[in-house]
Amino acid sequence: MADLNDLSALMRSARQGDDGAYRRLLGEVTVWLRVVVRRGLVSAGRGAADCEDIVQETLLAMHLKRDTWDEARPIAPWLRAIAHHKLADYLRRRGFTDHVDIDDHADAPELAVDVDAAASVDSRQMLASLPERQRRIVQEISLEGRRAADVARGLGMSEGAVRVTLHRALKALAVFYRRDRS
Amino acid sequence: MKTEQLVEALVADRAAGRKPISAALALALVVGGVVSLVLFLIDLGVRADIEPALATWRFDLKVGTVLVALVLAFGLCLECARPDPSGRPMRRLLALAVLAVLALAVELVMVPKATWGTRLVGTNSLVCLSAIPSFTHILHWMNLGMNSRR
Repeated sequence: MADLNDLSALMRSARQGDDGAYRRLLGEVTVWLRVVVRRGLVSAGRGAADCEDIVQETLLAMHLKRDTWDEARPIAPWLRAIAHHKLADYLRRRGFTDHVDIDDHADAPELAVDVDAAASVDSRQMLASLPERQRRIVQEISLEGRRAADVARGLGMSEGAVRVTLHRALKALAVFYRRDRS
Repeated sequence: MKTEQLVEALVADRAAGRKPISAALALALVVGGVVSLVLFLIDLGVRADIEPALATWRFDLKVGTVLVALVLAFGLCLECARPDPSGRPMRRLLALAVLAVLALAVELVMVPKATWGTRLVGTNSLVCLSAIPSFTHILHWMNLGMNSRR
């Protein structure tokens, strides 16, 4: 696993408009998050079944709040803080009030992470809850890997409108995660 | 949805250029300041004796306290917007509290005891008590409306 602080260079490039850098950044963060979240769940006496839901919720939060990272500061504390908050949110929703310190677990040897289980349980219902147009755009971009410009042509929308709709859909997903689902 | 697919959606969404939160907040501060200034000039206007007033240190202290509050609140706002605030940001407000208490003490020493009640509460307190919550509510609902349309 890469040193988290190395990711600041990727985030900087991403801010300059480098899609590849942002994809790599999210990939590295995902790998790190899976380990951290799984350890957090296990140490709280929870099963790891919802691990991927929390990973996705955290990725969404990082994405939507990425402008709160100050380039003058190291990125690792920022990443840890969001992961910590999202894990605590999840545990609180499920009626767990103890303090969770992810740093206690960050240095332990890596746990095996089952990547086959990388589909989150709740997000299928979440996608279904989106309005038709938002759901189609998220699906075409994420599941089928199409570019925003192509999706726009297919739907007879402008590329800008597709991007706005996608952004709205992602915000709606983040809200969906925050709701009490237990 | 698989996480890798979510990542693709996030990458596609990234193109919408966003400025750092400090720049956005500074812009909001400038716009808000200009709007307030215009409203102030239209509705209230600058007091006639502004120049002699500025020359008295008690008046300057009032303006100074507000400016200190503005600077501290701006920094605090930024810290609170971050998931990882550095140190204990709330402690910075201590300087403001000390300044306000000192100014209050000085003011009470300078003015006659009989006028303390009016000086502390003012003569328009009932207007303020009703106006401030109503304005806050209007702003709150406007803000909610903007968010839902976004």
